[in-house]
Amino acid sequence: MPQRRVLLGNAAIARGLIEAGCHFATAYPGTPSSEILPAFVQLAREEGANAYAEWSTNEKVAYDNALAASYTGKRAAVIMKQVGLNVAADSLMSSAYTGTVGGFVVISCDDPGPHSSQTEQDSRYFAMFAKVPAFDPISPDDARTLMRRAFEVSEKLRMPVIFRAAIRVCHARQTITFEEPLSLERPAAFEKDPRRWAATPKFRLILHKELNEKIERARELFETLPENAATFEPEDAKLGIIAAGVPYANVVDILEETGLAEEVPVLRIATPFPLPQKLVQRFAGACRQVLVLEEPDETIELQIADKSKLWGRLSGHAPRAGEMVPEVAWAILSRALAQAGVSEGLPAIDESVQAGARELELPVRRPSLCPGCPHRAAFYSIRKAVPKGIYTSDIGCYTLGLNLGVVDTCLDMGAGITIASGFYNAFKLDGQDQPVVATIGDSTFYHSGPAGLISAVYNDARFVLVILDNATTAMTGMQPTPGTGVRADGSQGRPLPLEQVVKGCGVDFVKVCDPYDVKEMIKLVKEAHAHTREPDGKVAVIISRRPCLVNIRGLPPEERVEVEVTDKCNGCKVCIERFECPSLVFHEQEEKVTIDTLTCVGCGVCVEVCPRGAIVLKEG
Amino acid sequence: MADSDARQILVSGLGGQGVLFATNILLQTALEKGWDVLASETHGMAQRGGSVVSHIKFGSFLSSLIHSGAADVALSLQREEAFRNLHFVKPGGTVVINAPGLTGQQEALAAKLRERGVRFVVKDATDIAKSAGTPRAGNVALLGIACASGVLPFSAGELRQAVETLASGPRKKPNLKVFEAALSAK
Repeated sequence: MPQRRVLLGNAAIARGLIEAGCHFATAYPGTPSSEILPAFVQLAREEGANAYAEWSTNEKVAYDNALAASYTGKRAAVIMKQVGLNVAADSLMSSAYTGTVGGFVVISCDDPGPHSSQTEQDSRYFAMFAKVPAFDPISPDDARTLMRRAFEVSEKLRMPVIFRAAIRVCHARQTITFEEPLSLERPAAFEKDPRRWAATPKFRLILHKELNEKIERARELFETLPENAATFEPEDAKLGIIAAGVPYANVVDILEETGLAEEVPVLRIATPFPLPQKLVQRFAGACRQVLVLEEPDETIELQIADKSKLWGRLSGHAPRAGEMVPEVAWAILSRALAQAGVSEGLPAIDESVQAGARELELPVRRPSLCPGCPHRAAFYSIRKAVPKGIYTSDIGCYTLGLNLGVVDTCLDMGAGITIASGFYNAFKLDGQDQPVVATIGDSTFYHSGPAGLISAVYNDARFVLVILDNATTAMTGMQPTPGTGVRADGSQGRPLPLEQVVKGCGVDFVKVCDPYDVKEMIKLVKEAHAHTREPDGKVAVIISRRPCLVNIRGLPPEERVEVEVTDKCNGCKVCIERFECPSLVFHEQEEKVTIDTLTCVGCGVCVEVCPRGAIVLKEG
Repeated sequence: MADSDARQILVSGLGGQGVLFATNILLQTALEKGWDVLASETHGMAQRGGSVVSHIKFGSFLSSLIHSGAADVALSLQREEAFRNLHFVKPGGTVVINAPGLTGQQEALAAKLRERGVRFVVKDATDIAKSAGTPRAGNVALLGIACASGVLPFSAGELRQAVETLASGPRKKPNLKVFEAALSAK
């Protein structure tokens, strides 16, 4: 009997890789893609496959490593979140020209919403930009089977393909029936061909023409791809729907539920770029109106030349931002059904309960740092030491330092450092002495810190950089970093201590501290800032080092303390507003703070925070 | 108690309360019954103490999301999160809330929904878990309460089996103890 399991979408994608005979995968973690590589390691192990998995330092590095494996004839995949593809864009654009040998799939996970990203960008636009095919799965099991197609197309055309999985595919769970993996013999070999693999501009022109031919051949292949199919062939339908990805899943379920599945045909586009034009024209030709449902942007709609009977984002029928959740799809469909004369629309979704709940004034839940998080202690000290600073920060759990007023900017990976150096020189130009303190996590620093730091030292920018070293990539689910040297398969690689890297970037002031020692850290940040103002000073770096408590499953018992709040507490809320530990709870009736012993981890840092000394270590 | 025919279940709570574990128990139980399951989870930043919600569907669905007004059952580990997600529950559905009771305002909204046949089961799952020696197992207690109320499509035996499968090692006994305590809680 074939194995039947409930898998997370990301594990189903990993299973798709294994079943497609892909044994080489690289990645940099990022929600919603992070679980794919660990699942790949696990499932390959279960299968007894001789597979290579790598957490690379960033997405561009990951891209190039996997691409090289493809050059040797192996099937390979690179995995990232959608904004990671921005980092790897240079490689993507160029490799579209050079082409590939073994099947090469770029898995880029989109985050319509956005739930956990700085943009809602559509990876399918990157496919258009680079002129490479895009695949758009609708569910975990669909992703698993579509992966095999993606490799077939890549291998046939010798070009990279983008496999765009949206968050509702990545973080769905579904029953999966395993299929026998392909067994491919692909011993690594590299056939030298400098006109391709090291092409100069003259040859790049030839490669561009070749790319244009390849993408037209992809379009031909997609005209008959079994996944590009309609729920039924329309004949003069009042309304037809063209849909892709998760919106396809939502609309088909709604039509089923409302009894319209046999009245309104839906054409699924599994390959939004290049659009199978003939297939689309045939379908649209048999419908009086066509509604296009896709997310987050309008890749399909843009490619349909005749927009006279098209409804979608461009016509204002679908919102141009935000996730197309079932309620949104319901409203779009309802309006389209009425406008096309299919029905009077769908029964309106009752909004009275939501309105009633709004009146309850439910608490706004903003995410916050965990109890005992070392970042919270570090942020507290930074603010105390340099109260007039501009605080530039970066991407990670510590972005939540904005709740504490110690994160003023968060742009993209590595920008904690680059925005800091830009700020310094912009203020300096006007003779202003503006203190700047940058924060960045250890994993983010390895990802894209050094280039910015080298540039800052070289251009004499003066700021304090605090590297929040919790020895893991916490926000995305505890992936290892080069600092610990643990590799994707759990084996020990070669660790690169942050101190060495920072010194190598030309920094003289490099000091390590324990953020739980608040007094010491405040002193150190002041000292670091003073260094930046000395004539021969430079950027000063503090490595604030303490492991993530979630990763080490709580403080070791010997480090734990018990705290209590004494009668000295006057309810000033400084600890709530400036420290925001979830275990400090304000008691409205008693107008004082209490400790939630269920969640308190016993770090004891809050003892330092209370201006009245009302939080104390328990006696005995 | 008879098994219900619920096919769309929502589980809500706060990051860290174990919404994902409760979700996995329900999925595992369905898998053992040979059902097709499809679910949607919250990962990433929201897990740091924010609102967390899982959508669970049994049967031949394509979309992993439950739409407003379609859930047969909504389980909530936290009272306010239950009300935030109340609109998902269909007329005639059931809401199971981990709380010692409701506030006056909440009770007024609940009364309106009761008129549409929505049933409310409000019990202190955290307290049951605490009394059974594992304060953090409120999630397992809530499943026990829901099961005892007859709103889940599973028998106690089927759920117990899933708890045994998923709560591995030293976590198994304490979780089973909480589950049993919740089943028989008044």
